[in-house]
Amino acid sequence: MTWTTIAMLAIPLVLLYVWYASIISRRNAAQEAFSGIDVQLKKRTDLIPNILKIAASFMQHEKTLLEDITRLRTEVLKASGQAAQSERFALEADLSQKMGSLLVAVENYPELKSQQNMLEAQRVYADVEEHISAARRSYNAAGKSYRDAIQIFPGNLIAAMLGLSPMPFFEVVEADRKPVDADSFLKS
Amino acid sequence: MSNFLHTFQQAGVAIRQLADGSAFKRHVEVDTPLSDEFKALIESDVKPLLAPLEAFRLEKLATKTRNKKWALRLGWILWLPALIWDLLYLASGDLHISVLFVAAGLAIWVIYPEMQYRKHYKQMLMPVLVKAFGDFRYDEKGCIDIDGVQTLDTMPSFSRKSHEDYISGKVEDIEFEFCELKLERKGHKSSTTVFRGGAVVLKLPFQLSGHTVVGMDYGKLGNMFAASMARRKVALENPEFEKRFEVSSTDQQYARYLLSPAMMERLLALDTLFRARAKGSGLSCEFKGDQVLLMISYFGDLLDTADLNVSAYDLDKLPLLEQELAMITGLIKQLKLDYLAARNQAVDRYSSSL
Repeated sequence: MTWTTIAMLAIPLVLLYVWYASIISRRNAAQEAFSGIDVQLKKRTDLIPNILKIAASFMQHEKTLLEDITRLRTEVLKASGQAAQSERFALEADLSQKMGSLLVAVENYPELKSQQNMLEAQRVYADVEEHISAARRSYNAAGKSYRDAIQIFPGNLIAAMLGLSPMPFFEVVEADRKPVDADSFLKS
Repeated sequence: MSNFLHTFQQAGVAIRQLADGSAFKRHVEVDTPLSDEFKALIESDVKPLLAPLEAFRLEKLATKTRNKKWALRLGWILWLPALIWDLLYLASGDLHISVLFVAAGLAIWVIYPEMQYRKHYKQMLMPVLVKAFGDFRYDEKGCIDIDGVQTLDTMPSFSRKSHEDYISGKVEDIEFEFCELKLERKGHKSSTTVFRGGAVVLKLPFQLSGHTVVGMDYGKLGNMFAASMARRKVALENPEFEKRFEVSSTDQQYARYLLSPAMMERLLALDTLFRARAKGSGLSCEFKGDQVLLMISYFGDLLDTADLNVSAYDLDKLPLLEQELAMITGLIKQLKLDYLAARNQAVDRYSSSL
């Protein structure tokens, strides 16, 4: 066996190892980014009771909405670590939407709106939402990089051998994709 | 390496501006009228200053006219011997350019009164005008706290600096400093300009996480050479932003928090604004600790609208001055950093109350 033959066998093996290492490193980066979302979502889940406490005393007419948020928060807490990622993302999206509705509804209660602690809570909530959005974008970028690595040859062969599958992207909920009906806003 | 790439990139922009003719335009035409607030300020604070300013202008105009007359009449007494001297040297095989030095000296002597008037105009009017935009202070010869930002990557190393038009103030708890800055570095034979434009230092009322740099894009190869070992590239979703800038950070998630889609659009708008108004050639910014450093490269000269040939009572150039001042003092609002600060201060208070 000549050095040329050894090199011809070794080079593809080294390249395959490098590709494999790159796939694993990208998968770990995506998982790390995913845990970043968890941290931020936990912050939001912890913040919600405070906002509800401030809002509840003023928003008697939004009882259903407040109850929905409380229920969704409990479901999110139960789902973390147990439910499938897609199911959990859907619950988080529902919770986010309901919280958005609550913050819009605050506008109808001038007394609540002018409360200093409500203003602070709204600012903190907006900041947590910004962090969640950044964590999702970070996860999507890491997920894309991982997806590219396992779908481009020879990564697809390595992924098939190791049983690796792409991680899901964070996407907006269907309700957010629908065009805004400006008329209904103006009529209400 | 990044200094070399920066100089190379600036040369490219300069050539483009020469080719499209924008390099030759002294000022951008402004059709927008003065704001009511600015008009009121002119009536109350600026108009009383115009009489002494006009007297100074007339004096300097007379000096310039006199100098020009003498330079044309008697300049030959200086430049003719210099020319003969140079020709004699040339005949003996040596190259001397003393005639050029004489010509340059005469030109400076002629335009010096105009320079004095421009300086005086700024010293008198600017401290009054900046007050229209809030709690701001103007110093014609001031400079940003360079020592405080010297260690930041966006601040190039330099051996000589010149600066003017320092504006400082506070907007919603954010301390603001701006000045026009020219940084040069001495080489073996000559000096190279490593930065020319506006430098802005913002001191935030909260601590930023990680270290994020939004630099100019030098192309794939250039970015590879300019890349930092300590920070990783942050790939962002906005294609136009990715085309103009190269972002790197020690904290991928926090970099995306700072550079939200809206923030990316605002930075693009700011870059476009300076390109249009001040012959801008790109900007870079850095977020570290409680500081934000913005280095906005441009070839134009902002806040320099005085004209020796135009009466001080003629306020035609004030709309341009107002817009340039609004552009500089409005940076914090333009980038909505005040909202970022308010949110983070609320988070700090909330965390400490738990």
